[in-house]
Amino acid sequence: MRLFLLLVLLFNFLRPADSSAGLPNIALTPSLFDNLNPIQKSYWLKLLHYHKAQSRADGEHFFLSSFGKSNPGAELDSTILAFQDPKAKSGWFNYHPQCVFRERYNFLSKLGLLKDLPKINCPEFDEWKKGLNAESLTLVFSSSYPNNPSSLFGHTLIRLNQKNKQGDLLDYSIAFSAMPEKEDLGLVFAFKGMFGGYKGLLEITKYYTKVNEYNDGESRDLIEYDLNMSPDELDRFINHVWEIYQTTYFDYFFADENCSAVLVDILAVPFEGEDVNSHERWYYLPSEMIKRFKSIPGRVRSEHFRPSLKKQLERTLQKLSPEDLTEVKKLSSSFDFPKDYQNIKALDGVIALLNFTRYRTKDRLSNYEKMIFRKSLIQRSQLPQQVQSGSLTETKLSAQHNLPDKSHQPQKFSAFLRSENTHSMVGIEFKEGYHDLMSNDEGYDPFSQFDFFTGSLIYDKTLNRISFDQLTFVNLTSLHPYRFYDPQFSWTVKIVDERIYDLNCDLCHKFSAKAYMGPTFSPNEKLAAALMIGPFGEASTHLEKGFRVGVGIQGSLMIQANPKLKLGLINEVKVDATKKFKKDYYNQLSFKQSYFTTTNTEWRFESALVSKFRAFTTNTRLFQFNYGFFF
Amino acid sequence: MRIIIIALLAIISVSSAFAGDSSSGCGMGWEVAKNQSLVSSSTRAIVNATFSNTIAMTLGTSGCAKHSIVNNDAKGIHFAEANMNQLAIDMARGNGEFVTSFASVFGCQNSRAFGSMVQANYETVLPSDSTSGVELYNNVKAQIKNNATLSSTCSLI
Repeated sequence: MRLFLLLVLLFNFLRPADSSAGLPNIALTPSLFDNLNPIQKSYWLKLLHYHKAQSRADGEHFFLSSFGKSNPGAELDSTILAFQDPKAKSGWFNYHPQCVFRERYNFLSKLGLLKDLPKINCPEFDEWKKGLNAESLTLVFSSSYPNNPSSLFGHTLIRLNQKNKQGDLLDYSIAFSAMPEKEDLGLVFAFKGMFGGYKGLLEITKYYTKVNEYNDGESRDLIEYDLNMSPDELDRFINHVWEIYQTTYFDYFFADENCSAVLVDILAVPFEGEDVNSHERWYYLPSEMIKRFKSIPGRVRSEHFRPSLKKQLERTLQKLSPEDLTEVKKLSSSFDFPKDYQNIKALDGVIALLNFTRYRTKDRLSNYEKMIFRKSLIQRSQLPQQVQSGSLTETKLSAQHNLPDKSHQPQKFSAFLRSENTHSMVGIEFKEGYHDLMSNDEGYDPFSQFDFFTGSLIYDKTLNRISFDQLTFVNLTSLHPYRFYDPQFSWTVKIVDERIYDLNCDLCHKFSAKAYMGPTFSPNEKLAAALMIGPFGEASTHLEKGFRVGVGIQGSLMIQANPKLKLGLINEVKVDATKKFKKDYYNQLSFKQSYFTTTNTEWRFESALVSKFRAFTTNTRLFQFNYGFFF
Repeated sequence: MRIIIIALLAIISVSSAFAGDSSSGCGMGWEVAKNQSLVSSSTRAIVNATFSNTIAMTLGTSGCAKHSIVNNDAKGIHFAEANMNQLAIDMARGNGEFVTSFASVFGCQNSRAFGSMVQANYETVLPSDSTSGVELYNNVKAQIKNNATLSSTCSLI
């Protein structure tokens, strides 16, 4: 816990101060800002992206006053002066301030604060806005991407729906993303991403580039929430997007000034009194943004699910008979493609399979795969069109289980009763985030885990002692089903300070780290069986040499018995490579059950048997009963 | 990601090949880089690809001279270049979301007729698996002009 607090302090230390307390009051004369009513002040602060007493915008072109970042009154007065100056230039493209700060202009105009202004035409803005041709707005959530730690929580973007459109692909999308100046690797990337080392920019691009990037390139689902907005609200949002687009970047902080946090601040401008960009905790998740909009009655008009390329392939293959599936496998790996092949379903299967393989291998199809792909497409073009109702992207929302608005909250508090052999204990646990293998998977990818900063305390009644129990720094697992079309291994990484159960040592601790990988068998979303192997390392003053390293093997069987009940059977064997194999060979067998009473509450029962090889009399038997709620 | 970068680089090459003026020195990416020292030249290229080739180039508002290409062509070429993989599949099937959107960049409201046309002329519009987006766009455009129904109804031809 001390380390966690240290990290939080470090985080707060490295982050720019969010408050201007202690700064001298720059404005020497009363500002017009002082005369605004609270609603008007609030709107002006939203336009300037103020959080507490300072703006989060970091581009100097965003402020027309030298003190604008921390003095909204000075910024308001300077804005009016800039609007009055016919020769003033601002923004990255040196347009007149009236043309750059369109929503400020509209707002101040409505307040009657803009009088005797020079008449300025803004052809660039008019053309840009006309080109967007927007009539409504859709909030888009991209599901998590376990292969990239920075995408584990998902992502959000906005789509501006064009008038009279045929499909969504040609709409414009708006996203906020970090733009690294150079390719940083590993820890440098993580550190800079966490602590403002990258600049974040607004990115406006066609929606099809996002569909390509997320749906196809990274095989992530896109869940689309059409919002109800009045024409005036939409207009004000677009005006504000322009002023951000023309003037500023935001320093990127992974925890609370990330892709979703900045985007929701921009989107929040037209939503008066709905507080859509409030933060519930010190970090901001993309799902929090979706949940907030879903919680406002009438704001979400409709929802759509755009399945990933992998899900599209799975659906195509599921529709095939066993014979056709065999045909697909045979055709996609055959050197001789039959002439005049007529089986449409099998051809569609080959095309879907090779298309997915192309993306999975990052465009490294072999020459013969390319040849088969090409021949399949040509042959397919000579056969009847597919039936429109069988569209691969048509998906029933109710059949999906990774909708972010259905997910449990990320933080959790638990209380538990435990027995360890003859010792009786009570304890409490606090989890900063986010989701573990035994939690309710509704709203998350099935059988996934990303836990960080989870700590617990226990009171041992037998010893009459309160003790620190465990602190999980990170516990990440991706059970990736191993399929013929997607032969990827699952993996797990865990770094934890935990109890030692295989020595005769009361309330002793070890620092432990492991990284395993291996295949997972998963016939459906309700069952996963994984076998993983990899190195581990442990350090403790209670160990003979102070440490042990070796190889661990973990087998696990996870079952979602019904929507409210989840079962897990896990066995882990560790071999200490620094000692004789037969002497130091540890085994932990665990059986776990979770019962979900509501989305955010659950009961858990866990039993475990920790054995030391050839010394089963020293087994530790552990039983735990736990109640937890997410918040 | 590599595919995306390749696609973006392809887009950049399209813009430089088709633009009478150089894209250097205009567009959001260039401005950001020039004024803020934010991004390297490679990132700048990507920023330019997304900013100037979509909104700015398509709409002609990048703070620089107007490009010499026709706006609708730029929009269609960009779409074809960025979606070659999915277009190749949808065109072989004769329908689908990408074909419908491709029809609309030519102003073809009758996406069913458009889908039938590209499916029937698949090897003509996509003569090889290395056909570029520009070639695909031009080939489809030529086929629309040869098609009595589409040439009279597709408004942007």
